[in-house]
Amino acid sequence: MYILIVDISAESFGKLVSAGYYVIDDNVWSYDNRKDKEFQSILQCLKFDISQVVYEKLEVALSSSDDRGIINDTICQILDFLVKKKITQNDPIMIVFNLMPFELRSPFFDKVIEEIFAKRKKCFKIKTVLFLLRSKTWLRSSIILQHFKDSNKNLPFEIMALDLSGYCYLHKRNHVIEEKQFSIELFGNVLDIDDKNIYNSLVFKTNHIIGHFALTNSHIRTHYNLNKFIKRDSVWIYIYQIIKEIIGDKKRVLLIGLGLEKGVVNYICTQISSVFGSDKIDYIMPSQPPEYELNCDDVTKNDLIIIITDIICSGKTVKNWLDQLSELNSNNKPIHVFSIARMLNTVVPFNNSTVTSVAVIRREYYEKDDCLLCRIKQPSVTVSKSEDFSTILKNPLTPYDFWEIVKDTQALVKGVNTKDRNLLYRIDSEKIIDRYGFWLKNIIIERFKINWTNTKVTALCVVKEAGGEKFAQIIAEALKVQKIVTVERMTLSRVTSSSGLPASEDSPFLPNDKVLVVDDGINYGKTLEKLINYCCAAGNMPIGAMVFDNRLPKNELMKIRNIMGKNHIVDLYNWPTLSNS
Amino acid sequence: MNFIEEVIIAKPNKKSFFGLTMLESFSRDLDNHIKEKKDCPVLLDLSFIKIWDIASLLWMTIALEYYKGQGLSFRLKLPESNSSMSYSDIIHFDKSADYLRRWRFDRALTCIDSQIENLLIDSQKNYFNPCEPRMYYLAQSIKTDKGLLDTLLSRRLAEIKLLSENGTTGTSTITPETIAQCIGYYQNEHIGNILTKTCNMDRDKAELFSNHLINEGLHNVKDHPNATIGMVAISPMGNSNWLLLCVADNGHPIPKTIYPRFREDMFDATGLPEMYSRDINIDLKCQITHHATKKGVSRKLISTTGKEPGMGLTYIKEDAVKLFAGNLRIVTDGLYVEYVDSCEEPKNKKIWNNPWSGNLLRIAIPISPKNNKINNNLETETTI
Repeated sequence: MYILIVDISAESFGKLVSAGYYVIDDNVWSYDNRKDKEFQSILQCLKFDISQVVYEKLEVALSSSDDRGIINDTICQILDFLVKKKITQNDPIMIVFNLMPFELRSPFFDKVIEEIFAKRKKCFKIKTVLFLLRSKTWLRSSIILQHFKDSNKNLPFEIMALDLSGYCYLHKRNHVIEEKQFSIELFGNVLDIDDKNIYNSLVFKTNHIIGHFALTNSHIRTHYNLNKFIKRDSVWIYIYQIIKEIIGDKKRVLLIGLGLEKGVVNYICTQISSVFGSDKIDYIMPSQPPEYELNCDDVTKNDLIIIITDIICSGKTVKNWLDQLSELNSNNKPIHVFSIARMLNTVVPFNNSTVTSVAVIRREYYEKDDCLLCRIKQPSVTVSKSEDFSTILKNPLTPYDFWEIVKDTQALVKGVNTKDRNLLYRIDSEKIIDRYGFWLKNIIIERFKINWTNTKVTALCVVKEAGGEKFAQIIAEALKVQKIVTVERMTLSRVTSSSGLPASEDSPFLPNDKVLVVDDGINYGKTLEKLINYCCAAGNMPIGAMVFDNRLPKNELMKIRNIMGKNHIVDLYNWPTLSNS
Repeated sequence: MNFIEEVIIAKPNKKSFFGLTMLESFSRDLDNHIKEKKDCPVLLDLSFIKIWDIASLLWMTIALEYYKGQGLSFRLKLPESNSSMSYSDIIHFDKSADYLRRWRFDRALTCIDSQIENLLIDSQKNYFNPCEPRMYYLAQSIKTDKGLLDTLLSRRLAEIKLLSENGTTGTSTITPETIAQCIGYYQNEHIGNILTKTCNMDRDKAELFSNHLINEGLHNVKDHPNATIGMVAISPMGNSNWLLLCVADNGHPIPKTIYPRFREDMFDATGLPEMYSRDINIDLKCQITHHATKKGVSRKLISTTGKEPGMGLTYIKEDAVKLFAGNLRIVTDGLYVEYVDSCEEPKNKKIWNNPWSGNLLRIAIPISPKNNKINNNLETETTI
C-alpha cells in the first residue's frame, strides 16, 4: 500500500483566506509537526487492512485563490508527483488529503470530488481517497456522491473521511456507507501532543493581558484568553485524554462548571457531554452558592462529580463547593477537580480531591490582604466579568510593568557603542516583543484608538533595523496594516530640506496613504525626526508616530511633533527620568 | 438646542411583536416623511415593542443607514420600562431592552454612526451600558446556563456580529478575510453540540446547522458586490420553538447579481431585458431570485469560467426547508419570498418595500428546547 499524504503548504494559506476560508491558528497539523506513521494506527483501529505501507509526503503550493484554481493546482501537483515517483499499476494507492487546518464548505468539497474523478489517470490504482476533515458532514452531504449513487454508477475508488470528532465515514465504490467511531486520542499520537507543547501553546501563543486584577478572593498579574486556547485541536485532544482518564468506566458523571470565564467553562462542559454522550454526562452551571444549587440527589445519583473551572488561584471558590459536596456525599462518591490552569503557588490537592490542570502558570497569585501589587500601588481593576480584564489596557505601562518584562526577557544591554552614539545601556526591544508580543498588541490597539480615533493607517514607516522592524511588525498585526516601508539609515541621512528625497529614490507611498512612523525607542529623537522628514519629503505628512519606549521629556518631544503638524507621538512606556545628552 | 422633531412610531402588532411586516410599514412611513418633510428631524419611536424579530432588527439597521444617507436626521427611542407602567409591562419592556443589549444592537448601530450616542435620545445615552443589576441577562452572569438561549448568551453567540472592519468613517469593507474570520468564530464554538445538548437535536443534523446554514449564509455575502454592511445573528425567537439565523447586507441585491446567469440559462431570453432593472415586474424578479437558489447556479457565467456550480443558496434552502422542516425567507430589492414545505417554488411572494440595496436571509428552524416555556407561535405571526 502506497500512502501519499498531501498538505497545502503554509505559505499558501493566504490564498485560502482570500477565497474566504478560515484557517485555524494552531499549526499542530502542519507538515513538519506530525508523526504521519501514526495514521496507520487509526486505520488499523478502524479495521482497515494496512500492510506493507510506504509513506510519501507532498506539500502543494497554490497559485490561485479561487475554488477552481485551488483544486486544480492541488490535483495536478499530486498527479505529477505520482508520475515522478513512477508508481506502477500494481501499487494500490491511498491519497490522504490533510484538510484539518481549514474550515471548508460543501460546495468546495463537491468540486474537489468532481475534479478528482475527472482528472484521475487510469494508470494509477487509486484505492482510497481519505480526507482528514474538521467535519465529516462535508463528505456526507456531498451532492456529487449522491448524484453518482442515484445514477447507479460505481465510484472509481472509495472515499473516506476522518473527522475531528472521531468519526469515520466511508463511502464505498458500490455506495455502501459505513460509519465508525474511533478515539481522538489516536490523533493525539499523530500530532505529538505533550505537556510542554500545551504549556507553550498557552503561555507563548495565546493572547494575554498583564496588569493588576482584583478577583473575588485573590489578586493576579496576568490574564490569558482561554477562549481561543481551549478551542485549539491539540488542546482539546489533550483535555479529552485527561477527562477520559478521570471518567474511566463511570456510568453517570455530573460536571459542575465554575469560574469567571463562563463561556469557556460552558464550552468544555458541552464538548465533554457531546463526546462522552449526554446520557452519561450531565452538567450544571451554577450562578448561586452551592447551598442553593445542590441537593443530595445530585451527588448520590452520579458515580463521579467533576468540578470544571477556568483558572484556580487561591482555590477558595472550589473549596467552598467541595465542602458543600462532601456534606451531601454520604456514599463517598469520588469528586475530582479539573481546571484549565492554576497558579504556581496554588496549593493542591483540596479537601482530598484530586486536582488536574492542563497547565501550571509560572506566576503566583496574591492574597487580597497581602498583595505585592497593592503595596507598590500598581493601578488595579476589579474584575466581576471577563470583559473587565481589558480595561487595564487604558493605563500606561508603569515602571514596574516595564522593568518586570525587561528582567524577564533579559533585555537590558549594557555598554553599547555605535557609529553615532555611546550608550551606557539600552533596551533590546526585540527580546521583549518576542516574549510579550500578544500583550503589547493589545496595548497598541488601545493607545491607537485613544489617540487616533476614526483613523485607519495604511502604511508604516520604519528604519531598516531589526528592533524597529520587529516593533513595526506587531503594530502592523495589531492595526491590520498591509504596508510596511523600511528605509535604510543612509537614505534617511540623504534627505534634504530643499530637494527632499535623494534623486535615486521614489516615494514608496500612495498619495492618500495615512502613514504612521514607527521606531522601537526614542533616545535623542534623531531617528524619529529623520523618518518624519523622509515621509514629508515623499509627500505624506505622517499622522503621527508610535514608539515602544521614550526617554525624551515633553518639551523635547514637542519639537519633534512640531515638524509633523503637532500630530501625536505615542509611547508604550515613558521613562520618568531624562536621558544622558 | 431646541428643535422640533416629528415622531414616527414603529408600530408592533397586537402582541407588541415587531417583525418584517411591521418593519415594512415603518419604512413606508419613513419614505413618506423623506418625500414630504426631508429637512425635519424625526424621532423614531421604537418604545412600544416588547418582542423583536432579530431579522427585522438587522434589516432595520440597513434601512436606517440608507435613510441617513438620504438626508434623514433621526434619533431613536428604544423600549424601556417606567414607573407608570403595569407590573406586566415593566417586565416585558425590561426584557425587550435587555434583549437589545444582549444582542449588541449597539454594535449594529455603529454601522450608521460610530458615536452611537448621536442616534439616541438624551435620556437613553447610556442605554447600552446601564447600571447593574438589570432585571434580565445580567452582564456578568447567566442564570441556569443550560437552556439554548442561556447557553448562547453565556457563550456570546447571541450577539450581532459584523462582517465588516469599520476602520474609519466611510471605509467599511467586507472582504473574504473578514467573512472567513466570522466563519471561524462560529465553527470554533461547535454550535452543533449546543443544539444536540439543549434541544436533543440529531448530531449530524445539528452539525449541518453550522456547516451549511451558517457557513453558506456568510459565504453568500461575498457574492454581493459593494456591500459596506454585513451582519449575522443567531437567536431563539422569543419563547417560541424557533431558532433564527439571519444574515443581512447592503450589497447588490441577489436578482441583480444573478441576472446575467439567469438570462444565459433561459431557453428563450428574447423577451428579457438586456440589463437588470429594479422596476421589472414582481413575477420575473421572483423567478430570477428563485433561479439563484437552484443547483449549479451562481453569478459566475458559464461562458467566462466554465462549469462553475454555485451551491450556497441551494444548501441553505434545502437544509432549512427539507432537512429541518423550517422556512427560508429572502427579502431583496423590493421582493419578499418564502420557502416552506417545498423547495420547488416559493410558497409566498410579494412586494416588500425596500428602497435600499441589500439582501436579508432569514432562516428559521424548529427546535425542541429542553428548558423553554413554549406556546407563543410567533413564527406564524410573521407569515403574510
